[in-house]
Amino acid sequence: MTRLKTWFRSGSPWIWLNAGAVSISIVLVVGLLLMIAVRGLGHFWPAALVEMEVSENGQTLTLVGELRDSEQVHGTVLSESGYPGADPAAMYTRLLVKTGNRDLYGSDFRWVMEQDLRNRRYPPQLLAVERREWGVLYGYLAQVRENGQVVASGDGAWQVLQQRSRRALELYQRIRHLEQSDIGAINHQLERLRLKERRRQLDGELDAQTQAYLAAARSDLQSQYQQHMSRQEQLYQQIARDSVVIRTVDGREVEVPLSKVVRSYRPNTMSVFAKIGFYGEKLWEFMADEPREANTEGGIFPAIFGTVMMVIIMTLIVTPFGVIAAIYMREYARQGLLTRIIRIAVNNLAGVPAIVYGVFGLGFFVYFLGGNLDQLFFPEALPAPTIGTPGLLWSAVTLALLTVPVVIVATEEGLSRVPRNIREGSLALGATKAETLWRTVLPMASPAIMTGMILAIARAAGEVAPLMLVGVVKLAPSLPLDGNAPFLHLDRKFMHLGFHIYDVGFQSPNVEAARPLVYATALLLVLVIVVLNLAAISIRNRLREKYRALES
Amino acid sequence: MNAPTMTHGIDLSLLGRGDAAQDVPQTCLDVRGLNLYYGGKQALTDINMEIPSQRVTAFIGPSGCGKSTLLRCFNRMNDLVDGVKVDGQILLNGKDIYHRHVNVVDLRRQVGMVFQKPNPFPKTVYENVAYGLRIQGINKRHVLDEAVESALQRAALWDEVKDRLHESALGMSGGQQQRLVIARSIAVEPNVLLLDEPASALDPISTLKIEELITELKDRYTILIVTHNMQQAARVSDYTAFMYMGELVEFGSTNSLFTNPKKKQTEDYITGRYG
Repeated sequence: MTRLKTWFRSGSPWIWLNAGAVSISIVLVVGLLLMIAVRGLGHFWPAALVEMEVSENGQTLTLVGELRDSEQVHGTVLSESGYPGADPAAMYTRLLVKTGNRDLYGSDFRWVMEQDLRNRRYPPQLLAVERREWGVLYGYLAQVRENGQVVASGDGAWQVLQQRSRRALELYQRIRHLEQSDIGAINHQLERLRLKERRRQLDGELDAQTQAYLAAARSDLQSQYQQHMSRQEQLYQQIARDSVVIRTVDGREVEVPLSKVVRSYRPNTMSVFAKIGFYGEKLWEFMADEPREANTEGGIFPAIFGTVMMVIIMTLIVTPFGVIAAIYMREYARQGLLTRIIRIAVNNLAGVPAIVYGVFGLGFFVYFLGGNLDQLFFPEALPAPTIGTPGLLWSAVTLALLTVPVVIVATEEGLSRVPRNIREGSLALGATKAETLWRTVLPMASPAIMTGMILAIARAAGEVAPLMLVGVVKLAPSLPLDGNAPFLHLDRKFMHLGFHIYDVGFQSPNVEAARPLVYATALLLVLVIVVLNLAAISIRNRLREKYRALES
Repeated sequence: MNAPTMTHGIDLSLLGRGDAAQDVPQTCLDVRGLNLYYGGKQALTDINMEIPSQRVTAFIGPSGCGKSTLLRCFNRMNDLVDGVKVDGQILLNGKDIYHRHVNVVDLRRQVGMVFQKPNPFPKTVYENVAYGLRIQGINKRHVLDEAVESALQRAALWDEVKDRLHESALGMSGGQQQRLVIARSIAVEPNVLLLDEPASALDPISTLKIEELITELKDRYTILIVTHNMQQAARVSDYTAFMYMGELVEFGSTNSLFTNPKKKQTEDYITGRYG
């Protein structure tokens, strides 16, 4: 009894409690990261292709696919779902097989009972063809064709296929470049000419000279456009030359034009190094490419870019705004009831649910502010809105509003920590209050300002709900930054990692295929936030080092 | 002009200054009927004194007697405190510094101040000294270089810091920091230097250096020093003012005040009977 009492008095239980809380937090965080990393990153590894026979309802069919998952199912569940002969007391193993060939089977995945499987084998010739449409195709290479004529067939066609795939990919890149950069630029200029004409018309200044000038510019662009179009036609003809014929395991033959093939590979013959190379390639594609197939394939680069871009613009808006507000409240405003009320209001602003900011952003920024700006500055484009539509700028402004309390509170804290004798030292040298503020107080408060900025970034980068109302879309046709003046298009809609997770995870037509991408995207979102934070933290630590001391 | 010696009837021969008889000091700061209130509380009551030019004047007295408050009146540092009301006059070279048209910023350039705790800015040694000049818009490299060097030399710090001018001032010792702050103040060429217990946070050796510095600086500046340490007042000052409960009890040459105090309160204080 007394020993227990002394043990309590020694403070050990308290230390154990503290340590326990810390370790649970660490385990949770590490566990979370590990889970999304393992589930997300495993997706890109080229799994072996299995050929197997399944006997279902007395019939035997042959399947080819990747084994993706397995789970234990209770017999009762199986008999309820119509599986004949299931023993209600026993547990059964069920496998998820990715069979691909969505155009033939109607879906990419199917569940198979393990006990129905016979004769698993891994034929080295099995080929996986990733297509731009309809997902992956599994089967055996039958023929490679050029303009409908067979140029190679059987297994010997593998080399030919690889060669011609490379050519097709190169042509594909050229077509895309032509369409996006060259033809895109001409469309952009034509649109600007149209707006210019409309503007002159509205101002009543559309004279013959202008009209002639516009017509000339337009016909010039048209002729350039024609050139590009014929070039594009040529490229399309070239890329349509080759096709590959795949014989699926149930004997059907599918002809795939090489223009639709992203890559083809034989996973069962790949060495470990080849697989690592393939993994790296897929990972790079994931981070650097655009999404395909309703976001379930390809990469998420536009979403990464959109997220980072939006956060940077948000930071550029919120930091000066918050700092100036905090300076006024701390340094200039008379400290009284009114300042206290304002301070309480600002603190409570941080607690307003994010979606409310989204509604406010849509109503005030997009419709009211944007709509009026359109009336004032872009009447030529009406009724199509220019800035009065959800977009990058309004998203950044809305999130800036959401995070401004954090910056204000942190900055006020930093200002109040600058010692009084430093301010007096500066004033005693004949500096005005403003000079003291700029030359001494603000630099000394800068680490605290950075802290506010870090908190704002952390909050904004993960916020999705308000963005759905003010500018985020499932698939943006173009990045907000490109080669057409004014280069940074604040009015464009953009993609965001957080919304991408939601979209892929919940709105996807192909849930099984999309699930690993949800994890991979979540991992990337975490990484992006970590990188943004680390950048800000390293700047803050440098500042803190500089203004260290004076603490005694 | 009235010299303090006359108003207080002090015999100049008691000052112990060989040259005192030849050049009677001019009045630099003339305080006339100064009252100061913090809110409703009176902190200074009817202060009248004439502080001589290019001499060291020490203010002594127990804690809370108003000596620091009085010192802060001379560069209007009290303006920064909420609810402070001042009436009466302080004439700096004949001009009232509390007049409506006085520019406080200009006043503070003429009346420099050094605080109890060293307060260098978190900048380099060089930038600390150049701070006041940069505020005046002086940014020419060679002008600044010269001014910084001469200020540091006058503050007896040049030899110690000439190789680390561009390192942070926060890495210096407390005594060095305090001399740096003095250098920073004299770099803007003030007429008056206010020292508010400049050595109270320092060790004895640093204190000694500051005291030597004060003695050297009085040729060029009128120095007012607030101190708790009566030995220090006796060592460095030419004149001493004893304050008690917001009133100026006695003001005269240091020598006579310490050896032959006129008032009972002064005698009690300097003999250690209270304070």
